[in-house]
Amino acid sequence: MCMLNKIKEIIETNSSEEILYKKWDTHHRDEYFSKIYWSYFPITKKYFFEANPSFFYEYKGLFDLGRYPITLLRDGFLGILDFFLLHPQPPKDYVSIILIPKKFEKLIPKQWANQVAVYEVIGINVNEKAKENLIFHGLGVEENFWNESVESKLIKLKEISDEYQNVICLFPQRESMFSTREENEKNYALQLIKNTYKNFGFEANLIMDINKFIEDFKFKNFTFKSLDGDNLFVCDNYLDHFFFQQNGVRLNESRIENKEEKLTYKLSLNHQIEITKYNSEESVFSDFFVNHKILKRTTSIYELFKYPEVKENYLKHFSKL
Amino acid sequence: MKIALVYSFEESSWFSCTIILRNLIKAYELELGEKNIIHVNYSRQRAVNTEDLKKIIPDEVEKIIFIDHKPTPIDFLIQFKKYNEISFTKKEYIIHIFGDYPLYLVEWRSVNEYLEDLSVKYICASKKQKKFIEKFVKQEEIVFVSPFPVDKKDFYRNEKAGELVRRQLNIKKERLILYTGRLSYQKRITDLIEQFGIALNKKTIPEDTKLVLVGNIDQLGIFYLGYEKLPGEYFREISKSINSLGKFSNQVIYVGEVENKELLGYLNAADLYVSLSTYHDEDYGMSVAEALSCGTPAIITNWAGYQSFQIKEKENYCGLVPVKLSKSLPDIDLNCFQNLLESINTKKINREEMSLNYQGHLSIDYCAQNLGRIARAPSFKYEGGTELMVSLTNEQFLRGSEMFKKQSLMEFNTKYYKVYDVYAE
Repeated sequence: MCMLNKIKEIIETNSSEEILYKKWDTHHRDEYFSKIYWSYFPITKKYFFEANPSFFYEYKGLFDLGRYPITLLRDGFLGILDFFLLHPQPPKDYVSIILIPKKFEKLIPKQWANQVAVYEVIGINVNEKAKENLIFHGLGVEENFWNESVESKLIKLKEISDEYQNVICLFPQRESMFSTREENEKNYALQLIKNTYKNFGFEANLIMDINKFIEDFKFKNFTFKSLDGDNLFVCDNYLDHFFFQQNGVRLNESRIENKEEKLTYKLSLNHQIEITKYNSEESVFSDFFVNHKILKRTTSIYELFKYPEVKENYLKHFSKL
Repeated sequence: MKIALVYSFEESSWFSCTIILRNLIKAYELELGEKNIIHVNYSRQRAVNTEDLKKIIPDEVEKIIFIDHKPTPIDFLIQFKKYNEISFTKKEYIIHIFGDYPLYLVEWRSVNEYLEDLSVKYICASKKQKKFIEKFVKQEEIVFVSPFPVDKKDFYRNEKAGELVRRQLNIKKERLILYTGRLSYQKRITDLIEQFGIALNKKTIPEDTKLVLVGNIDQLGIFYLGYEKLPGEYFREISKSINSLGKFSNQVIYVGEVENKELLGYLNAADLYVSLSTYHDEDYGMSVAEALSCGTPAIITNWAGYQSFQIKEKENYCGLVPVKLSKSLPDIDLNCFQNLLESINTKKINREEMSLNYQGHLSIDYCAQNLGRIARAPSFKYEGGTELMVSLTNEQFLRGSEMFKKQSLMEFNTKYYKVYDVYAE
C-alpha cells in the first residue's frame, strides 16, 4: 500500500482513544521542555487532528512514539533535526508513520522514506474584507530573529501594513528559554517594543496579554502574520489555527497549486491540512549529521540551538524559505 | 415602584446571554418605565462601584433584580451588606436563573446564607427549570417562570428575507431543515446529521432535502464527566459525519457563524427547525424561541427547557422527541424523531399565524407584563437551600465539575479488543 493510502486509512479509522492528545495525562520529556512549552503557550496549545499533532519532546522516546499509528510533529527546525540526529534511521520493526512539516522536508534522512510524509497547514478562503485589520503576532525572543534582525523585520512589517486600516501588534513579553544569558541580556523583547514604536508611532496598538486577546477576540475581517518565519522551535503554530478558525487570512497565503498527489483534510471552514509524499531528492540531512559526528556533539533542542555550525547550516539551507 | 437592575456592563462571552440580557432590560423598561430603573454595573471581575451602591440605598428602590448569568450575586451581596446593612435587609431580591446555575452551586449556597430571612424571588426561564431549582430551594412559592424574551422586531415572519437566503444557498423549492445555535457535542449535531441521512435513505423526507447548520463550533464536551474537546475536534467529527452520508453528503451545508441580524433570513428560509440537543443545562433555548417566533415549525427534544415551547392544542407547531437519562449522554427516542420528520406537514401550517402565536408567549411585551406580575407578587421570607443542595455543594467543593461522575469506571481500551476479539468469536 502506498504511503498516502496508509495515512488515509489510519486517519479515517483512527479512534480518539488511539490519539495521544485525547489522553490528558501526557508528559514532557524533561522539566526544561515544560518550561519552554508554557513560555510559548498558546503557540504550543493543543489542537485536534486524527494524525495526532504533538511535539517530539512530549514523548519519552521512539518506543513511546511508536505506540501511536501516526504522529504529526509540530516541531520546528530544532525538534525535527534533533529527532533525526537521534534516529538517523528507523528501527527495523518500526511501523508508525511520522508527518514532518514540509518546510523541513530536506532534514529527513533518506532512510526514513518508508515511514514519513510531509504536511502543510494552509488557508482556503479569500476574505475580501481582510484588509480592514492586520494582526502581527510573535514573541520577542532570539529564536525568532536568526534570519533577520528585529530592526529590519519591523521595517518590513511597517511596509506591509500600509494598506491596512488597523494594525495590531500582538507581542507578548517572554524571555527566551533557549538563549544564553548574554543573548537574553540583549533583551529582544525590549528591542521589539522599541522598534514597534519606532515604526508604528507611539499610538501603535501593542497588545501583550495574549490570553485576554484570544478570549475576547471579536475581529471578523482580518489578515494575520507571525513574526516567527524561522520556525526554530515551532512550525505548526496554534495561533495560525485559531486565526484561521476566526475566518482570518494569513498574509502571503497565495501558493502555486501543484498537481502533486495529496491528502487534504479540513480543520475548519477556512483552513486545511495537506499531506504529500516525502521527496528525498533534496535531503541535506548529511550536512548536519556529518558535522555532528565529527564534532562529537550531544543532542537536544537546547544544545542544537547553541552550536554555531548548526546555525550556519540552518542559514545555508533554510534562510530563503 | 423603583428597581435596580444588576448586571455586567461588559458583554458576555456567551452571545445568547448578551441577547437575553438586552431583551430583559427592554422588558423591565417597558413595564416599569425607564425613569424607575437604576442600572448597576456588577462587573465580570465581581466589583461594584460605591457610587452605584449609594444610588440603591434609598427606600424607594424596593427591588434589586439580578438579570445576568455571571457572576453569581454573592460578591454583590457581600459588598452591599458591608456598605449599608440596614438598607441591605430592607430590599427584595429577584434573581433570574440561567442554565449555568449548577456549575456554581458552592456560590449559590453562600447566596442562600446571605439572603436567609430576606425577601427573595427566583425567576426561571422554563417550567422544567423551575422543577430543577426547587430541588435546591426549600419554598416552591418563591420560584416563578418567565421565558427569556425574544425581540419581535428581530424575529418575525418575513418571506422575502427567507427567499434571499435561499438564493444565497442556491436552494430553490427543496425542503430546507435548519439548525441554528452553538454546534456543540451535547447539542448532538453528529446525531442530527446521521438521522438526516437515515431519513433520506428511508425516503421519509424528499430526497433533495437540505440540512443547513448555522453557528459556531465550540469545544465543550461533557463538563460533568471531565470530558473536554480540543480545538478543532468537533469540527472534524462533524466533517466525518457529513462525509459518511456518501451521495447525500453535499446536502448538508455548514454555513458557520452569521451575524445575528442574518438569522431572520435563515429562519424564514427554513421549512423546519430541528434540534436534538440534550445539553446538560438547556434551561431554555433562545435559538428555538427565535425560530418559533419567525413561524418556523420545529422538532426538538423534550429535554429540559425545550419542553415549554410546545403550546397546548398547537402541538403541530413544535414536535417533541422524548429522551431518557442514560450513562453519559441522554438517550433520544430516534424512532420518534424519524416519525415526526415523516409526519410533520409544514405546508399545512399558517406560518404568519404561528409566528404571532409564539410572539404572544415569548415577545418582550408579553414578558414585560409577566415580569411586572412577578415583581408585584407577595414576598416571602427566604428559608434557604435544601439538604440536597448542601450535599451537592460538598461534593462540588471537593470534586469540582465532576460532582456527578461515577468514580469507579473499569473498562478495557481498544488494544484489548484488538487482541482478545478472537476468544469471543
